[in-house]
Amino acid sequence: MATDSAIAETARPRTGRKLLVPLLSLPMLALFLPFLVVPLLLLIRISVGGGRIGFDGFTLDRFAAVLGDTYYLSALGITLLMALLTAAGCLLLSIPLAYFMLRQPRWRMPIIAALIGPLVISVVVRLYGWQLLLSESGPVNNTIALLFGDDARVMFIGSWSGVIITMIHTLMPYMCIAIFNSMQSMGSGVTEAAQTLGASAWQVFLKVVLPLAARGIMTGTVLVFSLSATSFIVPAVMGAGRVNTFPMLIYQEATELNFPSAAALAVVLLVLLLPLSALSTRGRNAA
Amino acid sequence: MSATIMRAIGKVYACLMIVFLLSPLVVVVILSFSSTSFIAFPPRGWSLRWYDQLAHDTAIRESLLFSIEIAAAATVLALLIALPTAVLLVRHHFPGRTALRALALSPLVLPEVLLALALLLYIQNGLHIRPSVWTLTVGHLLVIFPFSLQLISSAMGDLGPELEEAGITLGATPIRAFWLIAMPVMLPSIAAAAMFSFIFSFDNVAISLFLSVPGNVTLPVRMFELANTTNDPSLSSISSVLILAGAILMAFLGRFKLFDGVVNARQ
Repeated sequence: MATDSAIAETARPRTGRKLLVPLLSLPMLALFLPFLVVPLLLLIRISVGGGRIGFDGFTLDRFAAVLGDTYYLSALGITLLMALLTAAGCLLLSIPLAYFMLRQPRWRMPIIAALIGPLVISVVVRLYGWQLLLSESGPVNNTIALLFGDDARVMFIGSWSGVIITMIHTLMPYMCIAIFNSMQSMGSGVTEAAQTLGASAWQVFLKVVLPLAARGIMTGTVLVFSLSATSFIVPAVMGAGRVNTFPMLIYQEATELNFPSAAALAVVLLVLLLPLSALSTRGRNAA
Repeated sequence: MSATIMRAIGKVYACLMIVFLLSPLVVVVILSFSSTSFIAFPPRGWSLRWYDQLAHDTAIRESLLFSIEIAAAATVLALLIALPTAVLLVRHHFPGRTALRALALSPLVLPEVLLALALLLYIQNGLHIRPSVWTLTVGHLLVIFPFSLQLISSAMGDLGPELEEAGITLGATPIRAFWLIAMPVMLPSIAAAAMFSFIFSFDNVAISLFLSVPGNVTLPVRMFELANTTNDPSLSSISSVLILAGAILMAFLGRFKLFDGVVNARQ
């Protein structure tokens, strides 16, 4: 009898633990199954469905229409090119800044504050600021006019240049912090050792810091590229209706109530970007 | 000698980057004190007229209150769901754990436009209901959930199970041990998770735009619409108020060394 109750004692928490996993996963599944998994499946269903709302039969016409139409294809190409330029711009600006933060600990806090400060303020406010800065009679164009004459004024708003400048400003903090984190994780000992062994500052940067920061550069680039390719707020405000990126076409199709076409465009975007996102998640898990 | 030059170049570069990062905010604050009804730099005169207009703008005030309501509701729900999910993912090993984690973090990797469109189609053509405050809250909840989960999970991982196990060995029930030992230690992280969830919900545009509720517009969506249509400094006063709120928040975050949370929640 004594052994029986002892077994019962040890068995009880174990059955409790078994129940615990489904119990703890219940709240999350109650949110994600009906409001994320099912909506995504429905979106895919609508993208291949016939009829006006896309529930009848099966058709790939919409994908054929998207992939056969130069309007959509050029929007797609331009979106990817813009994302590439944004990632390259963020990279070029961030690598020296992250390296400076690594070498000058006293400057870290003000730079991090300047990087993160804009992120806690609504993106609409930041875009409004850029509209003011880059407008035809704004400070940037006034400076250009002062230096090169009135004819040199640039139409930033409603053109690619304005969208890309703003996109770089919006996404650069993610890139810079990612690179700085990976540079910092190698410790200051490595750079000091290289210097002691006679490497110049330039050599330390090129042969020691940059290779060791490769993971941060990779993570940051993938993150910035995918966030840039899927953003529609920035092109919507800065493009002034003249810059059509792929995510904006999705929004336009939806506002014109062409839901199956919008769904097909969204699926194309997802298929193109998901491998990239998976890559970055794996990188993050490994880090 | 060349090292000093390099350092000087570095400092100039850092200053230029700080100017680049902050200039769109500074320019908005300057404009908000302009006295002219057209946009000019530098402003031709100074006044508080745009703040006066803001004080009498009931539409903006209603949008602000609506945004706060949605963000508060979404934040409370996100914390309530993230807490058991974090316990599950950090403390338990079971088949399907990786898949569940990937699902919980999926809103981070899914394009926001796609998520917003999928929800809209589901509400309209799946459930056949009208977009309401509730559907909008659920949309925000999905977007902010991964941030809450990441912050709470990492705090729980840092804490480790040992203290609670000691409590259980000394006779406390697991729930009591969690409540009395883990919760007080994790409270700062939970507060940070709440703060970031609130900010990211409050600032969201994409979900709010797709799932907009007739008669109720969130503040960022109203500002988004005004930014595309108006051509006077009227947006600058409300923007400056939001910048001031952000600055206060940054001072608070700096004080408690929480800067990492803003960016690391995404990575």
